[in-house]
Amino acid sequence: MTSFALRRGLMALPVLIGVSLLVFVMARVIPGDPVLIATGLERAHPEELARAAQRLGLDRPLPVQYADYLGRLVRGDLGVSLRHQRPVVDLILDRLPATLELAGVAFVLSLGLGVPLGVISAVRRGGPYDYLAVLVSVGGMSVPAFWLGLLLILIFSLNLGWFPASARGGPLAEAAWAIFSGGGIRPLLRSLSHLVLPSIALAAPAVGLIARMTRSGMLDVLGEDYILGARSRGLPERSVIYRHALKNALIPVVTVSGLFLGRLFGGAVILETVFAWPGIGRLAVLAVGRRDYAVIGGAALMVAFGFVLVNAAVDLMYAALDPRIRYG
Amino acid sequence: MDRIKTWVGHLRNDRRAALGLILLIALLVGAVGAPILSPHSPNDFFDGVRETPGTEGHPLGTDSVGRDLVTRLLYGARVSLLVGLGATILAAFVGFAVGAIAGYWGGWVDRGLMVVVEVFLSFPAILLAVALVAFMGPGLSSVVLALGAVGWTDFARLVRGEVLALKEREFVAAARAAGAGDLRLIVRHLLPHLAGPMVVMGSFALASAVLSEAALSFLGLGVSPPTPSWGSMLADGRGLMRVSPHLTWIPGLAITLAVLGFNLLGDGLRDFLDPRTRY
Amino acid sequence: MSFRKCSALILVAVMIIALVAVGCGGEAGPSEGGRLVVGNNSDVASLDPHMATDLYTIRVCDQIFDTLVRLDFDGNYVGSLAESWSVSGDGTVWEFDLRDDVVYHDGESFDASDVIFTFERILDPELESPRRNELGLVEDMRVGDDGEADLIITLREPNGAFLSTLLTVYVVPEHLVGDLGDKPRGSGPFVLEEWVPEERIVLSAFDDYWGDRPLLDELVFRPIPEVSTRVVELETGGIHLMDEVPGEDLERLEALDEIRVTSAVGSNYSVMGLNTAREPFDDPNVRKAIAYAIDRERLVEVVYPGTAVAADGPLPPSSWAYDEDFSGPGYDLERALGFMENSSVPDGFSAELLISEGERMERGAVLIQSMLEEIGIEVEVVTQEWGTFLQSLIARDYDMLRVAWTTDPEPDALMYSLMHSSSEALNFTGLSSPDVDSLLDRARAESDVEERAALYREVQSIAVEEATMIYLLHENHVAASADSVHDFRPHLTGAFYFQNTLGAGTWMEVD
Repeated sequence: MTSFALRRGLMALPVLIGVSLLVFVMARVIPGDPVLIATGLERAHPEELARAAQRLGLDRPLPVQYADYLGRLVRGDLGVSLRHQRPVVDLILDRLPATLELAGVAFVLSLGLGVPLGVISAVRRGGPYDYLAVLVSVGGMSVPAFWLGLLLILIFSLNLGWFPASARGGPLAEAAWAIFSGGGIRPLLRSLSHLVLPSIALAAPAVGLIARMTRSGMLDVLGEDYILGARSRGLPERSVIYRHALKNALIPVVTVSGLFLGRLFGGAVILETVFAWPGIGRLAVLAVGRRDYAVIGGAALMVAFGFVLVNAAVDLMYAALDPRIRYG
Repeated sequence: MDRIKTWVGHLRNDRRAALGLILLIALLVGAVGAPILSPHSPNDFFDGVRETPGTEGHPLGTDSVGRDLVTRLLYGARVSLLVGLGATILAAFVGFAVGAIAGYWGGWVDRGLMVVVEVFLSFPAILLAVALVAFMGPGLSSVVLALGAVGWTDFARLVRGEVLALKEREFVAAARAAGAGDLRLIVRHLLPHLAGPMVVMGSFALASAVLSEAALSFLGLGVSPPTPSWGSMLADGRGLMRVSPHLTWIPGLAITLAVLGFNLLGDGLRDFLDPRTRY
Repeated sequence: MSFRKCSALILVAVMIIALVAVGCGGEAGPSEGGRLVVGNNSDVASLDPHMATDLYTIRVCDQIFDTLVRLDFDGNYVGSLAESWSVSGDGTVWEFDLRDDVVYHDGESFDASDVIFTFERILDPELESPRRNELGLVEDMRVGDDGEADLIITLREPNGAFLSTLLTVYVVPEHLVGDLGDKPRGSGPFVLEEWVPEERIVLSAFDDYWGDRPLLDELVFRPIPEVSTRVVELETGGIHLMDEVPGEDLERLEALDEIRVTSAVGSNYSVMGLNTAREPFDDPNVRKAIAYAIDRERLVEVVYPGTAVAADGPLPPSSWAYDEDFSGPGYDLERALGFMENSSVPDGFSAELLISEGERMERGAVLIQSMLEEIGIEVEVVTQEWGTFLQSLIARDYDMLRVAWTTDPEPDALMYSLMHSSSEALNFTGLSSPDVDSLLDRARAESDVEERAALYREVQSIAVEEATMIYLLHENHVAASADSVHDFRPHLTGAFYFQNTLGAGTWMEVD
C-alpha cells in the first residue's frame, strides 16, 4: 500500500511540471503588457514602461524565465503580484479558505441532493418519479450559472428577504467553533445565511452529475448477483437498496470527486463575481485580465495541485475499498 | 437503418429522451429556418429600445439597442449550435486521436500522452479558455477553439479506455492477421465500436459548450458584436433584469432548454446503448 | 415568477416605508454617528497610495491620506495640507504655506519635510511609482527659511498645470512609510481599522483631523463587482451607497422613496479614434464625414440613458476651460454624405472598429456600425480584451477604436498627451498639427487661468476640425444612496468625499 501511495505521488510530479509549463507559456503568449495595464493609459510613459519591464525580467528569453520560475517554485516561492505588491502565496492563502468553504458546502449539497435523486430514479426506473428526478437534476445542470445566481438573488434576497445577496458572512469554521467557545450560534447562522445562495448556484450543475452517476451505478449494481441473492433471501427491499446496493453504487461517484472539484472551480470563477465572494476564482480571472503572471501561475498551480491531490486520495481510497485493485 | 428503427422504438418508451429530441428539433428548426421565420433582419435597428414582448411587430420585444428579439433569438440558435457543434467536433477529433494512439500503442506513448491529458484536466478549464480567448481575441472561432481545447480530455480518456479493452478482442487480431495497418485498424475497425459512446459524450459536450459560451460572454469574452449568440444576449441583458426582465428570460430559457435537450438526449442514448455505462 | 408581481410587492413595501417615514416626521439636522457602507466595483489593489492608479484604490486612499491641495465639487483648487500658495511670475517657483494644525493618525505632527520625503519616495526609481513620471518636472524643493513660505518647489520649466499633479501626491511621512504594507496611516479624515481583501475595508473617523471630525463614525468599503448585485444590496440595506448606477435603472431607482440618486458631470471624454496612418483615414474628408454621421444624442439616449452627455469636443462641462458657446459637428447626414463624395473613397469602404469588452462598449459599437453604414462605410466590430486592446492602441494597430479618457479636469491632463505630436506613445490617432502643439505648449507654460482657458478652447476647435478623434460623449458619475444618507454627492473625478472641508459633511440618520 505504501509503495502504491509513493508511486501514485510520483505520477503527480510530471503533471504538476506540465501544468507549470502550460501556465507559463499561456501567460506569456497573451498579448498585453502588465506594466501598461497596471499604470493605466492616462499615466503611461514609454521610457518608464521599458524600464519597469526590464526590472521584472520580462524582456529576457522565455526559457531563461521559465527556468527561473521553476527554480523559485521548487523553493515554494510563487512570486510577487504586480498589482497587489504582495507575495502570491499570501494572496492565495487569504482567499483559498473562502473558495474551499463555498466548494465544500456546494459539494455536500450536491451529494445530499444528487444521491437521493439518483437512487429514486434508478429504483423507480421508467416511472413518473424517475422522470421528475431526472428533470430536476438535469434541469439544474442546464441553467447558465450566472443567470441562476442573479435569479436567486432577485428572488430570495430582494423579494423574499430570506438571505443576504452577497459577501461572506465570516469564516464557517470559526463560526462553528464559536458555539463551543461561548460565542453562541449567531455567527454560525450568519455565516450559513451568506453561504446559502452561492452554494445552491454552485451545486446546481453538480447535483445533476452526481444523480446521473448514482443512477447508473445503482442500475449497474441492482443487476448484480449478490443483490439478486439478497432479494431471494427475503431481505426487505429497503435494506437491499440502502445497505447493499447504494454502498457499491457510490464507489464510482467517489472516483470522480476530483472532476467535480475542477468543475466547481469553473463555476466558482463566475459565481464569486456574482456573489462578491472573496475567493481564489475571482482572483485568478482578474489576474488574467491584468496579466499578473505570478498570480495566474499561482492560482492555476494551486487548483491543479488540489485536483491532483484529490485524485490521488481517491485512487488510494478506491484501492483500499476495492480488493480487485492491485497495489503493484 | 435497423439500429435507428430500434432506437425510435426505444424513444417511445423513454419519454425523457423523447422530450430531449423534441427540444433539439425545435432548436434545429429555429436555426435552419431563421431567415424564413424571422420577421426582420438580425441587425435591423428600430427606434424603440427594450420594448416588451407583444409590442406590435416585435412578438418578443426588442433588445437593449432596439433590434428585434425574436429575430436575434432565431439567428442566435444558429450561433449557439455552431459554437456547440464546432467545439464538440474539435474536442472529439483531438480526443479520439490522442486516446486512440495512447490506448493502441500503450507503453511510453500512453504514459506520456496521459500526462498531457492529466495536465489539461487538472488545469482550471475556465482559465485556459479565458487565456485562449484573450490570446486570439474574442470572436466565434476563438470561442470554438477555446471550448474545444478544454473539452478534448474527456474524449481522450473515454477513447483510450475503450481502445484498451477492444484491442484484446478477437476481431482486432483477425483484422491484423488480414494485413490491416495500424491506421486502418483504428479507423475502420475500432472507430465503429467507439461511435456510440462518443455520440453520447458528444451530446453532453454540446450541452456544456453552450453553457460555457454563456460563461465566456459573462466574462466579456464571447463572440464579437453584432453576432447574435444566446450567451451574449443573456450577458447583455443581465444588468437590465429589473427594468427589462425579458432580455434575460428569453435567451436564458432558450439556453436552458437547448442544454436540457442535449443532456436528456445524451442520457437516453446512453441508456439505449448500454444502461450500465457511466460518464 | 412574475416580475410584475415582484414590482407590485416592492411598490407596496415602498408605500409602507413611506408611511412609516411620514409617521416619524421631523427633519433632523446633521448629526454625528452611523456606519456608512459603500459598495465599490472592485477592491483596492494595495494601500500604498503612491502606487494607486485605479479609481477604487484612489477612493480609499483619499480617506486615509491627505494631499497639499484638493479639488472642490466645482473643480476649483482648495487648500488641504497647504493653506495657501503662490507662483512666481515666470511660473517656475511655487510657494506653499502649510497648515500647522495637522497631525497624523499616530499623533505626530505634519511639516514641510514630510512633503519633501513624499516627493523623494515617489521619484525613487526603485519604487516604480506610476506617479514618478509626472513629478519629473520638479527641479528642486526645500523647506522655507524664516520669513519665507513653508515649502518652495522649483520646476524645470513653467507649468500652469502643476497643481493638478499634486492631487494624487498623498503625503506620507518617513516614520509611517514602513507601515504602508501592513497598516497604512496618514493624516486623512478616516483611520484604517481593518482590511480584509475582497471583503471589506473598515475606516473610522479620525478625531484629531485638522478639519471638523467627519460626521460618520465608521466608513466601510465593500467590493461588489456585479452591478445587479450591487443594486440589490442597496435596496436591501446591505450597502448605503454605490456608484456606476446603470442608466436603465435610474428612473426606477429615482421613483423609490428610500433611494436617492445624485450625479456629477465627469471629467472625461469618450472618443472614436481614427488611425491617420492608415488609408483612407488620412483623408480629412473621410474623417469629417464620420464626424457628421454619428448621432451622439442617439448614442447617449440608447447606451448611456441619463448617465452621459453628448460631447461637442474634448473639454467636458466640468472643466474650467469649458466653452458653452462652442458646438461640435452635429448629426448631419447630408453634410456627411457630401464629405464622403469629395473624399478619396466616394463609394465607401470597409474598416474595423476596435473596442474593449463590456456591454456598453458593444452596444455603442453596433449603433456606430449602423450609423456609418448610412454613409457607405462597412464596419466590422472587433472586440479585444482590455490588456490586448491597450497593446493595439499603443502599437497603433487599428483602423478605428473606441476609448475613454479620464483625468482630473485640468485641460493639460485631458489633452496634452493625446494631441501633442511629441507624445509618441499616446497620440494614437497620429494628430500632427503645429498649431495644436504650440498652443498646448503655451498653455502649459502659462499660469493665468483665463489665458489658459482661451488657449485650450483654441486647441479644442482645431482638434474638432481635424477630426482625428470623433468626440462622442462625457460620462457622468451617478451615485445612488439610501435615504438615510444625507449631504452626499459624487465628485467630478469620481472620488467620494465625506468630510466637510470640501463642502457639507456627509451624515447618516441613526436610529
